[in-house]
Amino acid sequence: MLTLSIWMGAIITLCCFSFLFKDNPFYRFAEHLFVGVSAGYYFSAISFHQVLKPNLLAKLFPASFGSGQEALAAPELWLIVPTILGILMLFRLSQELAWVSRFTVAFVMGVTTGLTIVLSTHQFLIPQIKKAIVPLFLKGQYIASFSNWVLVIGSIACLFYFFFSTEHRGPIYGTVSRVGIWYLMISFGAAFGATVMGRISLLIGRFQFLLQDWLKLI
Amino acid sequence: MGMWTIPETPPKDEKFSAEEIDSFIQTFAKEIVRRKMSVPAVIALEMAKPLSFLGHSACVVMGPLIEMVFDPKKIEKMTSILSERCHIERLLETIETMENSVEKAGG
Amino acid sequence: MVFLKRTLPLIITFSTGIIMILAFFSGPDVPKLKSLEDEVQKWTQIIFVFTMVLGEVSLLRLNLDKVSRKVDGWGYNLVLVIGFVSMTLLGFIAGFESRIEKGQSYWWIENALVNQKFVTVEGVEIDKDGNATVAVVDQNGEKSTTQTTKLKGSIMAWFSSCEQVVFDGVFKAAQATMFSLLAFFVASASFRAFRVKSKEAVLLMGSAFIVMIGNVPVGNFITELFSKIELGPFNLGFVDIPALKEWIMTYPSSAAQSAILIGAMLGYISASLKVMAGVERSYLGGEN
Repeated sequence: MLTLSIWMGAIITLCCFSFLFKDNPFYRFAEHLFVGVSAGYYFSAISFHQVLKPNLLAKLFPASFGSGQEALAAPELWLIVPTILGILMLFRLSQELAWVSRFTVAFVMGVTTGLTIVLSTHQFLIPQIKKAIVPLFLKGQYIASFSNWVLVIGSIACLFYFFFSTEHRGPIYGTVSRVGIWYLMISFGAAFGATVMGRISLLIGRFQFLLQDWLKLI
Repeated sequence: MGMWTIPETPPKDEKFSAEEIDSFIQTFAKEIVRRKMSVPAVIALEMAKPLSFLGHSACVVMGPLIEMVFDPKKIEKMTSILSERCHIERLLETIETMENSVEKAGG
Repeated sequence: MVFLKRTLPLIITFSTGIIMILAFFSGPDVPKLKSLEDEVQKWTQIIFVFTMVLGEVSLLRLNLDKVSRKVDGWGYNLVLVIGFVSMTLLGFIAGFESRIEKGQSYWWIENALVNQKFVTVEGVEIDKDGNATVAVVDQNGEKSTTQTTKLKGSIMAWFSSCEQVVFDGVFKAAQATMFSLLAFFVASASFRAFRVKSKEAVLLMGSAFIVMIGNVPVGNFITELFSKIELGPFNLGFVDIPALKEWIMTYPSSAAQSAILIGAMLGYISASLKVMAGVERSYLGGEN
């Protein structure tokens, strides 16, 4: 089985690398197989076995799906509510009855919007604003002061940029939003650099797999 | 109708006509250029080209969730664009052309 | 019908939204309301699974439709369907636990492909947290304990191995290789970016370059090299690439990220308020 897995991995790896030449049937084959397998994996192993089974089935039918002490617990019947809401979602498969899924969508939207308003303010908005409020004049610490200026100017300039209701023109608004764009470019660049590093390490891993596990050359 | 033929041009069986896709590409490119985000958009699109089909499939699978937040029509068009790499290339070229014309106009 | 199709969903959205806000602000004196915050999140997780099922069915339908109409390249769509069906079946069957009985023999699976051994169950104990621990003895008479989830009957063990073969051979290999391909497209992406707008591209690529070399030993090597360069009265020793990388990440990059998050959250909150108040109704779809 291990040998079969290594050979399959090597063939799929080579099929994927063939895209460097050009778009070709081998790459398309690997790409479609990957999408099919990952959709199947998320469907069965993640959605069913990791979410639905422990959170719904094991609680609704503990004797059949529960393990350990859980199997002896009483069924939590209130979980029928999300089950019904989930099943209503499947009505989208029919064109005439698709409107039935609106109750589920409305429930999910209500929950997420209600939570968003309070949680995102509490967990993201306030901490981010706090992060941008730093002392601008530090006695004797010129580099730290300069860095804090950079941070504050950057935060304000980027926020100016994100205000799309008005055209980014004029000596003040235009200039500040342009500075915001520069900051955004630096930030995207940093993210891009980190991504490329990650991809290169993945690439090294693939070559290691081909040369070490498959061909046993190193 | 080859079993393993890679379609040279976008397949005709799509939900939207070529004109509809074209106009969506134009609108999308215009918004990117208007927001002065051409450089990161070009980099992201160029690098994501090999993964376009993954993106397309993810959009289909996550569609019912994404449609709760964004306009379903736009999501479907985006999914259509991602389904073929040639659409992404067209989007890239449109951004480049628009950006060059803005530069020439001194904007 | 309009009440059912439009008004009732709007009422549901508004009332659940208000309940969630109240649940967030309720203190420990109202435990039932407070517990709703976690409980309802679990409900949405369950609903999301059903939504995913809907998405998966759409993906399957889309591809089966292409196969049945035999469009150009329908073979690839068939490959996708076969991959989906086989992995679903394998994952579904392999995920179930075998019923553990004293005196019976099972495969003890740590890793389905490289680490399996045949053991006999000596006893099952349930600890105070409700977790089951199984005492086993292997064929050499060596005793040890494990969890019930790691013990499988022969058929289940075979399915587990098959699932692992497809997972390692296709999923892991394709995922890592496809994402690693992006490393090759850096050059063409950079070229196109410079062609579009050179000023912004210089900033983006410059910071990317510093972050990249700041992360690897070459960064330290360049820093050392600079410290040895003397340009008349000037010494370039102050150029410290790893420190510069840290500075970029902590100040300009962090400023932009904060602004992105603040902007996104403000937009998200305003959109949420619109949805709750019933001003924004596009999520309900259709005209009716």
